[in-house]
Amino acid sequence: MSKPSNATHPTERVWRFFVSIKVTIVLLVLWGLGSVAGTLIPQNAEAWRYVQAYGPETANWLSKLGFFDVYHSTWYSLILLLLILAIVACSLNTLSAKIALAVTQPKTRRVSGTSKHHITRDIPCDDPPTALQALKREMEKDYKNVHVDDSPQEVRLYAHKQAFAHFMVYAVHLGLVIIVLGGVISALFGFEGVMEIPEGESRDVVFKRNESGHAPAALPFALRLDRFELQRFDTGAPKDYVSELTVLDGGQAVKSKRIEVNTPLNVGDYNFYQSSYIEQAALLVTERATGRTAQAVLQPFERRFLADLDLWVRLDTFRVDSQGMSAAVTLARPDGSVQQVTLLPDLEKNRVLQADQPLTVAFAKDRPAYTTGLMVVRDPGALWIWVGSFLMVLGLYLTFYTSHRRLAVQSGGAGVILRGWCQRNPQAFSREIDALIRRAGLPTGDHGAKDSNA
Amino acid sequence: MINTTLFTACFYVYTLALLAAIVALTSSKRWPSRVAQGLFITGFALHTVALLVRWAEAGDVEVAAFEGAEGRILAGWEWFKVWTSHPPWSNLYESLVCFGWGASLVALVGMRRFKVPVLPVLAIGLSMVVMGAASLLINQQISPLVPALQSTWLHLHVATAIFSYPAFGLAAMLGFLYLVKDGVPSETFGAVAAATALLIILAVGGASLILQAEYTLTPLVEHMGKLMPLTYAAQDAEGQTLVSNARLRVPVAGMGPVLMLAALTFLGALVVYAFTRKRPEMVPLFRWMLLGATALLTAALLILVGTVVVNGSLDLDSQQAATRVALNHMGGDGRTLVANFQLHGRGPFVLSLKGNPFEFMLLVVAWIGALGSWVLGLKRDWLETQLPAAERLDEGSYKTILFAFPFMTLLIITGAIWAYYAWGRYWGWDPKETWSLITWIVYSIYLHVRLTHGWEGRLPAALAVAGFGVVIFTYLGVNILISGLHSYAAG
Repeated sequence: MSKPSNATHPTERVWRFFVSIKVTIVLLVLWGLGSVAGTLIPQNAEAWRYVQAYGPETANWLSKLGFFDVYHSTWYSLILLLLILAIVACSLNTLSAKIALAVTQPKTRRVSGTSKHHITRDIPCDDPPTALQALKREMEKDYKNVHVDDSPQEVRLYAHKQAFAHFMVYAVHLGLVIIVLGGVISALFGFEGVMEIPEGESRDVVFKRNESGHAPAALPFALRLDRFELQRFDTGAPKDYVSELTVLDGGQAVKSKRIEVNTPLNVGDYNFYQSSYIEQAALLVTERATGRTAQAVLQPFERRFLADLDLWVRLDTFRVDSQGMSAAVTLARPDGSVQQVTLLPDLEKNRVLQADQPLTVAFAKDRPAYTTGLMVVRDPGALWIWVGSFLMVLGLYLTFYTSHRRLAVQSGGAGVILRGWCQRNPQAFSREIDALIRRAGLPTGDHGAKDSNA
Repeated sequence: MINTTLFTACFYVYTLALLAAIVALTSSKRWPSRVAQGLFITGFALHTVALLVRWAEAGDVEVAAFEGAEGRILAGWEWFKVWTSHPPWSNLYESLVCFGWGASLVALVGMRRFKVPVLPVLAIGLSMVVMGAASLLINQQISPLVPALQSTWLHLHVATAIFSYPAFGLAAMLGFLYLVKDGVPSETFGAVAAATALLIILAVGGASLILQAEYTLTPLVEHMGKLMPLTYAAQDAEGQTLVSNARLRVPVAGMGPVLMLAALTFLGALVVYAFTRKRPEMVPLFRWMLLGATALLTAALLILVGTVVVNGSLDLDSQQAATRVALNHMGGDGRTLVANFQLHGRGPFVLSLKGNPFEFMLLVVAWIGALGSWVLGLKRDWLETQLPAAERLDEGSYKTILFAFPFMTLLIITGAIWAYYAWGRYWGWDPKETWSLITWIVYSIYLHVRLTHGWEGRLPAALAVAGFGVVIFTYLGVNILISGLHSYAAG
């Protein structure tokens, strides 16, 4: 760590502490170790498992220290918070130096100094003015603006490019900060819930999942299930299922989408995922004597009292396959009389089977009644995650693969002297300068001794 | 399937390339290194062809599955779309052969760019180990893609992995060579290799090795025309299931004591190493112990391979024999609790390295590390004169990480996008996700350490080497040791 002298002010000391890159490294190490801990200890398991694995005493302590929910623990959040503070502090601390390198220094139109980022070429030539002209012509191909200082003593050329490279590391760090903030927004304002919509109907209430179960919450729009489609294998086992959904805003259809596994519906912050379905039989019961009818939509083993007919109806079995629908239904009067009905895919057979029964049952529709089960996720943080990610990747490429380069040329020595400076990758800059000199028709010469990095 | 034959052939070509590269090291002539390079390029070309063949064969499977489900014959563009819908990276076998392909590609580029001696040996060795592990997997079949894996984001996700993971491997090799050139003592490499070998032996051998000096292996049994690991289920007296689908393990005669002795010798070597700092005269003793431990490990591996090759079929026909073996491995309580014990599959049983491919490969890696570090001590001076300047090695390692790190970032991001579309969340702290984050953190530490005054040089180089270990753990270890969403390593 940095060792501030005793004379410095406490706030100054805190500042110095945070802007040290070593503090950032220590925080990164802690972040990594904390993350490892969360993968070694099973997270959010039932309490008895922890007691069994660690004993009650240890389990109690580990629980208090947040080791059973590491990624939501106070200390884990604190590491991330400190890391972000360190990033912000470091960025502010280096800003003035970077402005000096990117803006102030180039204004001097001079390159001086020796370091491994400095490159010098002494080019012997008989006619420096012509050589300078040729170099200026070639420099204009590599640089946007080539300044010419035409003083009585000498001619000087100066150009620089990619000054923005100094600031690209901020894009990476800003990206990380935005990603973390996006995560916080997701955690605070996002939720996960479930929603069930019968075919042909619309719903605008979602059941949020929380610790105690499910709590209803209203959506700012309604969803209608236009059609549910179930694809089956030949055996009748479900293979894939699709919901055709329409978004209704104040009763008006706004948009429609077919959703299935991997293809959710997105409305603003909300995403609707196909997660399950309920398949029911729609039955039509008719009292032969009076001609009165009643409908019941039932799952297997479900029963319902039809008040109109003073009758209990229960669905015993229900099967759908490539032949069609078949079912077994039990009808019971409150007085105890019971009638059992078997429905087969063949309608004619059904009529024959029920020919002299007091009550008849038929499928109300030529297909089962479906209710789609949707998983609803509201995640207002996701957008920020993508924005932060984009910024970070863009920033990484620009940080790694761009470099501020400055180049000054003047007559001197035995001919002309080139002085260059680059922010990173001096080898590449050295090659670039040699190519420039060669294009200008001048000798690159032996410069091994000049470059400390050669 | 033609593709698996091609992949196996590819492994042998890489083996020849490795031998040629080793010969090239000892020879002052240019032709052995040319031969090595030619063989490696041939192997890579074969590898590429094998991947394309597998893609096509997987396409046939997808088309057949689609046509069967829809009851119609596909044609034209629609056929092409389904036919190409299954790139070869949807199970562990495919993932490994893709990783091997990426490793070879990165190695070829790295060998051209950095022209560092010894690098070909390390790089070809990595491709060989990866392909060797792939060839030992039982499940090399192509099965139709499940809906969750049918996503463009998955393809981007895997493509970024294919480039970033092997590039981290190359950076680790260059980092290692930097440490050699920079003068890190040979005993230190030997001690790291010994510690790694010790950990691997203990992890792979497990309780049966430590407590009973027995090395155990899972036999295979034929089930519906395919070889499967032999598993069992056990219930207690009340009929409560205690274990289901547990792998049965049987001891390999004679191997346990030798392996245990190897582990103890590695441990002894580490103890001796602790004294070499103050007493340099103990270095030769350390080297002898390292050699001894390596020889013992070699003997253990030879016993294992010999047992499998010579006596592949296992005399385990009776239920009683199997029960005894299994009870032995249930521990003390198991003996009284288990009332009903059921083997999944009846003989003949086969002893094969394919029963525990990763355990075997880990032992091989431990062996390579121990032998390599011993040879390094022998040839140290010669190697240092061969290697280019330390700064160049450091620069090469750094640049390779600069290439890999953005890909690693994209790997995490594409995974998050994929998860968002498939499950409605971009991040769920799944062990695999978390370990990919840990890998990312390790390399961001590397990038920051390099910028820190006073921490340049050896520390980042050591991080580059250790970082690849974390990469491998994220790639394979998490799936084997901690279960999660990326279940491809299960089969």
